[in-house]
Amino acid sequence: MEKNSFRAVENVSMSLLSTLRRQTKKMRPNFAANAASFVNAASEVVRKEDRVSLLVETDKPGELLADFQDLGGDERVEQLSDTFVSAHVRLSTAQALVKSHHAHRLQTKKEHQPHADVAGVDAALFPAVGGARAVTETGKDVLIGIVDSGFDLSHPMFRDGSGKLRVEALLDQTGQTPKEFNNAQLETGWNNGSKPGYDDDGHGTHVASTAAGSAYKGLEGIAPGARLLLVKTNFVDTADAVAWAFSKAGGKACVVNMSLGTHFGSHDGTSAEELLIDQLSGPGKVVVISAGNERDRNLHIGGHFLPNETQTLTFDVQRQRGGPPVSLLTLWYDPADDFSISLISPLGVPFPAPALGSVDVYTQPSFDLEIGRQTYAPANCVQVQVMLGFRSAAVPSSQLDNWRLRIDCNAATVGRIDGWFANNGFGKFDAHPLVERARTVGMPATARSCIAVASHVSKNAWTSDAGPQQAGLLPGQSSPFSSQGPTRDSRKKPDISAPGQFLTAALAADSLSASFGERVRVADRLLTIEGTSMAAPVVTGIVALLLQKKKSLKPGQIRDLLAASARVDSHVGVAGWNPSFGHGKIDVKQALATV
Amino acid sequence: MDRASSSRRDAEVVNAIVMPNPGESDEHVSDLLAAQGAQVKQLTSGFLSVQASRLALRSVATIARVEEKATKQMRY
Repeated sequence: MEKNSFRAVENVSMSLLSTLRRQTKKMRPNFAANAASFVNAASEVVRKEDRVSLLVETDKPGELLADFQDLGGDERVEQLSDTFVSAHVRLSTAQALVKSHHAHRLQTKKEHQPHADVAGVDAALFPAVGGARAVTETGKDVLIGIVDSGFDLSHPMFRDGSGKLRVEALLDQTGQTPKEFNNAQLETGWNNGSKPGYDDDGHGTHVASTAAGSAYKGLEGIAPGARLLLVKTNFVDTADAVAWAFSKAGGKACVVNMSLGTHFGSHDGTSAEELLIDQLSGPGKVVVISAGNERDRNLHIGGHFLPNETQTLTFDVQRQRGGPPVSLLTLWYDPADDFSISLISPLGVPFPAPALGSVDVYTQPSFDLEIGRQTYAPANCVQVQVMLGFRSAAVPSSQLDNWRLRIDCNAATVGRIDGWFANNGFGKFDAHPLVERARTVGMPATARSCIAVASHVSKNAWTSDAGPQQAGLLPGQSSPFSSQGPTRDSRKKPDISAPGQFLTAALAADSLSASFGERVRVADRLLTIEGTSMAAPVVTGIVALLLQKKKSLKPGQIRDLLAASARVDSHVGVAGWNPSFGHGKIDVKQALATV
Repeated sequence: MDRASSSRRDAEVVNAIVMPNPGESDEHVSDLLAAQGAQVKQLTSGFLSVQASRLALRSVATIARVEEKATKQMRY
């Protein structure tokens, strides 16, 4: 930055400060600290063209947006959430914003180090951003398996100090038959351009580098000394992927990360895949799974009924990319109870679920509907399955919206019923007392042996090619999307919470993620995203450190020591398990100290 | 269900986990499935990964637990 423009920045800063001081009186108690950061950060965010990027807290975002809707040029005021508005505006507009009665609190978007080690600090791996590791373990002699969308193995985070790939083997499940590549084949393939395991999404590259990435541009994965077993999965044969990784690991300690899941199943650890995970897990063999991002997706209903009670819920079938809309809903209840269940179309046509052991199929002009009711012996419950498939992607909204699910309780011994749309995008219930945030932990994260991981906010600002970014979230809080426990059978999942919002890690070149303008630094090959997908590999890396220290640790022992060493702060609340954080926030230093 | 859609559904090839019932050997169930053109891979004792038509899978339903694999989503 040239001297002249820097002087201008200082002037701008003072100008903003004077305006801000006038505003302070009507701010909330914690505003003073934010006012200070507003000033300190101003020189970072004010551009030569005297633009300023602000985060505005408001209880009336609509009114605020209306006041500033006709800005024109490159000025932007956009709603981020119910209480936060983002503004990239001229200084004069910023001053008007400060004066607005609808703006309760303003903060400049601060330049932050694009560090996964902000997450590392949160997990006590680093004492401070940019500091040395607080522990000596790096995951040496431990294998980390990653089951995901693929991997950009040209990224420096997957190579050691001498430039060699740290990948033992890769399994590609996406072809007609799975194809395995050893280290030498991967080196060759990534040199000659065939790129085995190529990541066209970007998710897997980010996850793998968070767990085990080598030092790169101030970043470092949690276990940079571990070797990798990678599976580019088809997202169906994920059980096979876990079996492959543990088989390849042989006698070595191995932790497998699955940042994926579904809600198609009974959510009680009895699915075949979950039982397989239980069987494959043991001393030195651990599976870590993301809890899910469905807390606020309205895809789960659950509650207790009294005899003769009736509840009717409304839901919308959601459109999907690349095909006609499909909805898959399953409901689960105790065989001692008796429920009549009907789906009612937007035109009011009822489609009742048949008697136990039967499947009814209804063929309609625009959709096929299949409703079945059967005993699910592994969990001793009754399963009602509803599959609704539309014939055309161009189906009008009037046929997708306002479907009704009617539940009549004829007899109640247990009286509880739970239901889930199988995946995001299959359907969304309207607000109703039966719509629950609890019991939204997905499968296979409800497996008994796995470590199920929730997400909390570790930073709320980052830099991208589109400039400084800020989210209206408080560092430390549980991520609003992070699925809540317990399981349907009332077990305590998630087990632990880890930083998952927002994490900066490796960007896969030419991937879908590379088009996320406000999330990427393409030249730096870095991507900032959030999800329990991002929290899980933090825990996976930490489990690798624990296994380095004691190779024979069993999943249950690891869960217990993570729980016993978890950090409990004001966001978590009281010590003990809670539905959002599990046993608390992961603390690697304390966990290692207890091994 | 009408006959045409029923046979279409039966012929559809799906991926499943098959768990032989107690007392049934993995080999026996695997052989039965393979004889009907299924691709079978042993994941670990008591667990078979199978790619087969629903009709073929149904043929072992009395001696094994058959569960179609669900499609998962990434969590971001």
